[in-house]
Amino acid sequence: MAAADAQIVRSVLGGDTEAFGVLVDRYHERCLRLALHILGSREDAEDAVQESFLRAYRYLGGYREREKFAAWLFRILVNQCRTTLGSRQRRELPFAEWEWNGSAAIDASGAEWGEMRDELARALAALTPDQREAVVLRYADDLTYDEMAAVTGAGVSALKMRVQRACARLRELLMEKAHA
Amino acid sequence: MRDRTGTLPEWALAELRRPVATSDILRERVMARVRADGGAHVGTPGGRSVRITARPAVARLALRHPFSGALLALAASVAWLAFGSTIVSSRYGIASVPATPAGRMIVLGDTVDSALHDTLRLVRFVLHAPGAARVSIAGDFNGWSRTSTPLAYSAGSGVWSAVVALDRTSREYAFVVDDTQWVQPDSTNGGAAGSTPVPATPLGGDST
Repeated sequence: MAAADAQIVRSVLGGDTEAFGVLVDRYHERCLRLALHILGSREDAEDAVQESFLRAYRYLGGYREREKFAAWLFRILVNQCRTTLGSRQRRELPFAEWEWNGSAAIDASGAEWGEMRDELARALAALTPDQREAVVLRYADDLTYDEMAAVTGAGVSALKMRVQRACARLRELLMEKAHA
Repeated sequence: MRDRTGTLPEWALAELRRPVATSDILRERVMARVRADGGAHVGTPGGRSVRITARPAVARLALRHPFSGALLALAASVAWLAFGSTIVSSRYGIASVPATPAGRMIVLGDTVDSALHDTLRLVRFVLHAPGAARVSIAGDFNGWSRTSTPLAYSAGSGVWSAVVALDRTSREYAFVVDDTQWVQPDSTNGGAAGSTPVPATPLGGDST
């Protein structure tokens, strides 16, 4: 039976650095998927995930077991993604112009992204950062609104509104493409 | 019960949830940085890895090897230069790596003229370690490789140095002496006796 996250955290805090690798193995893919949809760039997503795990390790003593480790980690990741997006804005690179490079986008089976996924990515890029973050957390990882609130710091009502608007906008964009 | 405030086509939901490819390399990068970060998990800012800071820096040599004490310590300096942008005068120092309790404290040299307007900058890494056989720089810019960015040695001065073009996201690094010892500047310790300031050379000119 796999050790619980909290038990692994206690091992790491007790000096077993390598135990942190279990948490990396356990959450790396989920983090990468969220970051990839939020940032739209494989390179930025990998950097954000790497930095998030390092920050999680550094501040592991601040994790409280009453909270799910995944939620705590995702909060760090979301903040890191926001930092990356902010950095892009300072460089005056709009999200949509940043990178939509299909060659870097490979799914778990090793296949390149299909056209549908590419279209979804472009539609996500057209959302506001808040909307994109909300809809990705809601559907890419099936978080509840309460969990999303803990991760993002936003209220449940605001998150529901963001998801609703994001979905309406995405449907519109994807429909436009379908009829183009 | 599933909330229905927002819905997407099934294919879009499937695409959002489809697992993405990861690799052992990514996993190892994370763990390499974790290992290099040392054992601080106190939940307070700082940690033990390096940040390039806008402060005069002090270096610490982690003495992990029995004969590493023969190495004279170090000093480091860093110069930033943005490509094609206005030169701004300021001073920068360094920081770095995992520490051991036996670390030896030495003062670092001042530096430098710099500018920070663009995505690339030249950074001069300087380490005074006349007893070292090899010195390299490892950081987030080279995946924490201990060997890929060697410093060149100047026999007359005992100084190892290299100039590296870094992008704006590069923030953390450490010196690696003789492949095994990590050098950690410590900006909290200024002016230790026996220190060896290294005068830094501004990287002037327009490098557009």
